Amino acid sequence: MELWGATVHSSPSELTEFGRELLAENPDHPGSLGIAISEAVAMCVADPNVRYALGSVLNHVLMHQTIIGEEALLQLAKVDEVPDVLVGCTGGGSNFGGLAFPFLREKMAGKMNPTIRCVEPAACPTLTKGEYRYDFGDSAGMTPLMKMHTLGNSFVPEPIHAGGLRYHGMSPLVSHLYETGMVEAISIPQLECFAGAMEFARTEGIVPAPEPTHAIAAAIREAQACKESGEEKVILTALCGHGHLDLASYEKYLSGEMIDYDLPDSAIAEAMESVPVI
Amino acid sequence: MSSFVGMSRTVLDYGGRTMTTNVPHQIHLEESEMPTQWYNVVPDLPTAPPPPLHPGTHEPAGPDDFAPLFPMALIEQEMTPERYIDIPGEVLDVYRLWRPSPLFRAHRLEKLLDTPARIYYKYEGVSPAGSQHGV
Repeated sequence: MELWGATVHSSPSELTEFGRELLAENPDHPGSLGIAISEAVAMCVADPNVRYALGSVLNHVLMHQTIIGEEALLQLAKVDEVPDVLVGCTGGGSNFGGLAFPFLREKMAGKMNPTIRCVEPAACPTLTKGEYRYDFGDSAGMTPLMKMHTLGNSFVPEPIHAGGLRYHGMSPLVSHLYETGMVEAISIPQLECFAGAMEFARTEGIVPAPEPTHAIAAAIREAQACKESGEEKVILTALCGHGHLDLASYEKYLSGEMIDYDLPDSAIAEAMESVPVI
Repeated sequence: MSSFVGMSRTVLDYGGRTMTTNVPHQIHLEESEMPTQWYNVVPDLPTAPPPPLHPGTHEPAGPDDFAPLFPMALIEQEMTPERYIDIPGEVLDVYRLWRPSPLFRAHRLEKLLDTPARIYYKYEGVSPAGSQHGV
């Protein structure tokens, strides 16, 4: 990123008051997407010449990724295939929305009827264990309030390797689709995800980034169910990035150091206390 | 024009066995087939998602509430009633560094799993940054 001209700061950083507070409490703070958003917002507010390029969550970010699904629609049509099941990993929803929304359009138009499924980390199960209510999009409570599935804006997910999925909330749009029954959601622990990624790498050759290992593990579950039932389903997923920058995660998996995290309900309940009452 | 690699017959060699299939491993689009619009799903939904709220007043947040954070063009896209937004030419130029991205049929994974399912994956790792977030 710096090679391309950016200056990169690890969050929590010393650049903002919120970051300094967190580092004072814990110099080894693992950070989270919610904390990084707070710091980005603080920098925008402090300087009128600064604006924020968000990476997920809001409608326009998900819309910008829909070229992925639009291309996939055209490509599947070339081989006369229609998906029965779509699976996509969800952290803030951009990869999932990018793949799924064009197919959802076709489904709403009655042209196909795929099951559309979100796959989230068991250590950050926003859709499957969070509450659907108004919460801040960041950890310091600086953004407008958004109605979404949330584990509470103070929730700091365990340091799982899929850093892009470590967000306390979910895209309000994906949350709405889940709440209205238009998409499903499951959560999968990271050891199963990496086991699936190993099978994928050893057959397809590509080393997946930790985030889409969740989608791969879900696709494998679905394919195994097809083996049991004999159904010839067409499964579509998005491999949203390679894992060449994440080889340290694979090293931990291969050496047996990677662990799954228990997420007690009490941890969620404690973080939910940070959610404002509207 | 479609551009299948191994369009007629793809030969797979896995687990000591050889398998043939009419469905290729790679399914490509030509550069000229790349979509030129983003799709906004919101106007197509049966019910609208609840609006964002101003954190102080708890009233629906408007463009001005987002103005300190985001460029106005993005705020307009965030709230647009339009179903499609033309992708700006400068963005299309950058997309062409790697788009259209390939769709793959995971023949070898299917074989390993011994499943009758057909698994396809859209691969975004071909971008310069190696992920969907591009450059």
